[in-house]
Order: sequence, then structure tokens, then C-alpha cells
Amino acid sequence: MKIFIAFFILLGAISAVGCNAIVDPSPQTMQPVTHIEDYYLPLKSVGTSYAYCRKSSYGADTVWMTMHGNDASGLMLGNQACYATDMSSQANQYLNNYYYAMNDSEAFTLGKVSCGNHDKYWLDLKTPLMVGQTWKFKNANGSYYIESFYTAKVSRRGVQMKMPDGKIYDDVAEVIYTSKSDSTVKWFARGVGLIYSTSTNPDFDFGDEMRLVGQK
Amino acid sequence: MSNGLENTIIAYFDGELSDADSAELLHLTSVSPEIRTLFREHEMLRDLAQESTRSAMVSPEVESSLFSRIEALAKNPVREKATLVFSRRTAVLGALALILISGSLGYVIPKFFSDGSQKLAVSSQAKENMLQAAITPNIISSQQTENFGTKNISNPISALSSSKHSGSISEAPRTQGPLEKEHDAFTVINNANMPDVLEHIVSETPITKSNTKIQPTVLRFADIKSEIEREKYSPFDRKEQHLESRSLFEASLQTSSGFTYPADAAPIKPFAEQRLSIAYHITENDLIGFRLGSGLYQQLGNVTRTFDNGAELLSRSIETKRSFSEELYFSHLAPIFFAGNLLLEFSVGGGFIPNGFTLDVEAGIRIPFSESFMFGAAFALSRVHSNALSSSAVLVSENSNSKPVMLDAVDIHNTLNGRLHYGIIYRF
Repeated sequence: MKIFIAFFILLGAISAVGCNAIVDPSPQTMQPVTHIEDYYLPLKSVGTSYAYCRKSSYGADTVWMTMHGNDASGLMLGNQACYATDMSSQANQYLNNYYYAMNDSEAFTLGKVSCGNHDKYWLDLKTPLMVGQTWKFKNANGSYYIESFYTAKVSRRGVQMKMPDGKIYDDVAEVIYTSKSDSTVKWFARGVGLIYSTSTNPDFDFGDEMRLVGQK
Repeated sequence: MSNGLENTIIAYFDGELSDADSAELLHLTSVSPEIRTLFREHEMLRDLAQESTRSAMVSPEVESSLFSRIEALAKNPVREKATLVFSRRTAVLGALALILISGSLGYVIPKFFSDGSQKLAVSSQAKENMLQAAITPNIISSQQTENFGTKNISNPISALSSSKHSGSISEAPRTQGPLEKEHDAFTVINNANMPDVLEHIVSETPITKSNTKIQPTVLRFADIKSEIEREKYSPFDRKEQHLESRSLFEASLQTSSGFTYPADAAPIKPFAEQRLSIAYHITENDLIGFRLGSGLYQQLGNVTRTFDNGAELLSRSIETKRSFSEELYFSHLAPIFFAGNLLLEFSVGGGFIPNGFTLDVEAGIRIPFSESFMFGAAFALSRVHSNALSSSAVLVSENSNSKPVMLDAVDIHNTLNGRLHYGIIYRF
């Protein structure tokens, strides 16, 4: 009788806690991201600076991006919020403003012209952010004569990425942007923003490769 | 005259005749060969009728009527409610047993009498008792009949009356002399084929008028009940089990099917796994053993490396792998009875798989179908642990000097396997 009781207690214990403590949880399906700011640059955090290592056919340098917050003077179609950053290269001390737009569902790069009346943008992220999600946009890359159509696709989410300096980012989303002529890939880490990008477009502002190397 | 006599004989066998009329009938039987022949014919007819009814299913109504009549004979005003269950098989087996016993005794007793050099001189009282015993075979105990045979024949009715009240007639005074021999002889006869003995006595021993006041023996309901209770059968009754075995070892070959949690593959199909067990019986119901299994386990796969979109990608998934396992286990067997002898089995165990280990609890049932072979079925829950590196450990150990390294992997190291094992167990 005692062995019956002991056995059933053991069996019950395993059954009760088996799905939690004894057994590892099943990898749950990633919930779609509906708040896009979690994966994008901290544009609202005025003064925050990111250091990127940029490589291009012209060589490699370090680019500092400092957040200036909401650009009050900027005007955008649809009255969307515009955020300004300045980008400086330690190599040539070149300083340039760079503009972004962001709301809960979309985040895009406006480029280095201005916030006002600028519809030629690069749509970086779009909700719901989940593997397989796609969106399309057109981009002139600063040219009024050439226009490219891009298709963006979220190819991975929730992966880990280890940078050459050893820093590991969890929950990274990989987005691939393709057009007829080139391909660009960007990796966004949750809570950080852009951590790495590669491009085959020789005129891409961020070079062939740009990698986050520091924050301050 | 003949019809009237036949009715009297029938009434006698039915137990409806008064004591005085019974004595008178027996007297007539003993003195008249014609009446004796008629008596025998009715007796044979009655035996034939009883034989024919033994192989038939006894309906509850007939059974109830039978009990009522037995009570009437016993003059027992209160009868316990009959809750006994008769089955056709039991009835047939009982009938066969009776036939065998009767046949054996019928063969032995006549030989005994024919071989005896001393002529039996049984008193009329003893004859009466034997007559009654012939009517109610296997009911009167040897103690009863032993004392009955030594009853003081000067007042048999009073002696029988006292026996009714006391339930025993052993207090009756014993007579001396020739009756001692009768007593000894009757003690043997009591275990013999009563109809044959009756025939023997009736044909050879005259009964005088002085000892014709004979009462039919009193039937004790308790005796009848005790006999019938043996016929009681229910699948819930626990019967004596004979599972003790001198075999100290057992081997089993089982196959299984089941599930795995968390699962990323289809359920394990029937006959997908096999295991061979060898066990030693520490005691009859406790055993310890070794088990070699070929099973399907979900384990973390090897890390694959690709270069994807400008970054190095490491991938690892959980895979269903067939692996051998080696386990030690302890089992406890609990014999139970439900429509047959069964064994409940409870086991705990543990062992190794490639790059991991298992811990098991198991409960099942064994169904013996011969002295050495059993069918066994059991449900087992196993915690399977994989010693593979965690995702973080894989990424930390990775050297990424020039390019970022991406890891797309699951991190499940502990799974729960539910398996239904079934197969043959051989004890040797």
C-alpha cells in the first residue's frame, strides 16, 4: 500500500510540474511587434550617441550619430513626427544632419535633406514585425532622376547576434531590402536599434557595411 | 392399492409423509419384496430425475422453491435470504464432481462389503438413518451419523426431538454390545455410496416391528448453506492465488508508442521503439533489472554554419533521433484478482542515452497466460535530459573576429516522453 501511495505521489508530482520545471518550455511562436519604436533608434533620447564602424569602397571610418530629438521646424507630409540626428565622421570631421520619421507602426529614414516635403524615404520597419512580413517602398536615394522600388521582408526575429567585439545582442530582427539592382540587409536589436547593415548599393549612405561599435 | 402405495412412496421421497407413515412404509418395504421393488423403482426414477436436472440451468424460482422445501424439512421458520449465485458452469462442475465421487464410492463400497468376513448387523435405527442419508446425500456430517447410529432405539423419537433443539444428538446415551459393531460399520458406510448400502441392507436385514418408530433425520440448514456457498462465484471474489514461482529471472521484449513534450515532430507511432529487459527477482514481488532500449528521443542537433546576407549564421534545432538507452530499474508487483490473477507493476528507473540521461516512472499490468509467460502493458513517463551546450554557450564559444555571428537555435534540453509499452514477459 505504501508503495502505491509513493508511486502515485511521484507520478502526480511529475505530471503537475512536468510541463514547467522538469521540462523546458516549448519555443512559443513569436508575438508580432506592434510598437515599432522598440526595435528602432532611440530618436527621442536627445543626446544619445551611437558609434558605427563604416566600411565602403573609400575605406573605413567611424561615424557618430547623435540624437537631437523631435525636429520642431520640420514639416512632413501628413504631419508626421520628424527626428534629427547629426552624423560626424572622425576621419574627415564632416558633419551632416540626418533625418528620420517614426511612429508606432512605421520607422523610416528620410535622408540628409530635411524633414520638409520629403517623400523619398527608406521604410526601415513596419508593423506587425514578424517573420515573413513584407512591405514595399520606392527610393530615389537622393536622385530626382533614378527611382528604385524595394521590397522589404522580415527574414528572422528573436535570434542572437554576436558582434566581433564580443557583445551579444538578444532578440534581433533581420530585414532584407531588395530591388532589381541591389540588396541591403539591416539588423535591429530590441531596445537598441540598428546594430548592423550591409549593402550592395555603392551609393548607400551607410557604405557597404556599418556596424554598431559603441554607445554613449 | 398400488396407486395409493405409490402416492405414499412419492410423498415419502418428497418429505411430505408423517413420521409414523414413514416408519410404516419402511416396514412394509422391508417385509414385502413387491413393495420393495416398487420402492426401488421410485427411488431409481427419482435419481434419474435428479440427474437430468443437474445439467440444466436452475432458475431463481426453482432455487427459491427448493430452499423453501428444505426449510420446511428443517422446520426452520426463518430462512436467510438466498443471495448465492449459481452458474451453469458451476452446476455442471458440481454435477460432474458428484458423479465422480458417487462413482468412486459406488465402486469402493461394494467391494468393501463383499470382502468383509463379518456380516453386518446394523440396527434398524441405523438403517433408518441410512435411508435418510440416501435421500439427502452429502449433507449429514459424519459426527451426526456416527452418533445417530448409536442412538438408544427404545425411544428414538424423543432422541430425535432432543436433537432438533440442540442441533446435536451426541448427548444421547450409548448402548453397549453389538451396537458397537454397527456403529463402526456405519461410520465407514457413511462415507460410502448410500443407495448401494441401502439396497444391501434392505435386501438382507429384516426389520422387526419393535424398531419401526423411526424419524427421518433432521436436516441442518447450516450444512446445506455451507455446501452451496462454495458455488458462489463472482469476478470480484479474491481467490487463492498460486503465483509463487521459483523462477528468479525474467526477460521481456516490449515495443511502445507515445508522445514527447515539447514536441516538434509527429507522435511516436506504434512499434517504433523496442526494449529488452532482464530482471532478477529479489523477492517474489520485487525485482531489479537492466533494460536495453532502442528509442526515439528528441534531442538538440548539431550546430550548422552558413554565411547568410553578410553575417555568419549558426543554426541548431531539436531533432528526433533514434538512440540506444541503457537503464537500471526497480519494479514492485502487486497481485490482484479480477476475473483472473493479474499483477500490477510499478517501476522507477534511470539510465543513459547518448549525450544525456533519462529518469522514468512506470505503471502497468501483467496478465499471466501460462506459468512462465505473461503479457505486460505499462505507461511510462520519462524525463529525458540532453547534455548539449546551451545557445548562449554556443555563441560565447564562437570566435567572431571580423564578422557578426548570428545564432538561430532552440534551447530545449529537457523533454518529457510518454510511452505505452507492451510485450511479452518470460520468467525463467
